[in-house]
Amino acid sequence: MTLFCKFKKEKLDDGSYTLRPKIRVRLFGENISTQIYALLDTGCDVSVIPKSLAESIGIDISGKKGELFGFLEKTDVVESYARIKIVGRSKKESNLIKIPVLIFDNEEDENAVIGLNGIFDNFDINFKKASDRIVFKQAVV
Amino acid sequence: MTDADYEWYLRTDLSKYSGKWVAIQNRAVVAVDSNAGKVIDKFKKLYPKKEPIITKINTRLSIL
Repeated sequence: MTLFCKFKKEKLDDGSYTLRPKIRVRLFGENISTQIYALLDTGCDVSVIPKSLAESIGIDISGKKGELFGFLEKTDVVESYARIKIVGRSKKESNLIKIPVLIFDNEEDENAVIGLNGIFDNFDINFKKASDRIVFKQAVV
Repeated sequence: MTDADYEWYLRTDLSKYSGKWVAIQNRAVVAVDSNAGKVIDKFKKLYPKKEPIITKINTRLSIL
């Protein structure tokens, strides 16, 4: 199975623009599912979601506590898992996969990032910025 | 799930919502909040039977 996503052109505070690999993900909780357009970040080991999102859709937040180290900062997190599908163009979806997620609680700066673990184990991913495509191929394992 | 909302998102400048979570429906922003859970709650009050579509608007040059 092959899925195609695109880069999102985003305007920055200084008036310039950047292209970011914002992919469409369906995130399944015990209560509801939601679609998120989230950054696919190859510099992030694990996917990260805010506590308010996890609680809202029903993802377990009672897991082992840990720390996430970023550039010049550290964040307290809780380890958990999420069930997701990658959604490509023309509504084409990947199989349901279970990925590790870290849940953090910082109401002043919430964000969601799709990281390496679980994602790059299940897909061969080709970033084609020049042709505005991100290609996901279900990996044969 | 509609592709129209995704295509609309890709081509629309949402920088005026910088730092906020937004919910999208029918090619429009229908809810805004700094808290992801709250933006889902707002969406579900408006569209109880629909699956929320949310994203965070980041206009900062970033390393996460």
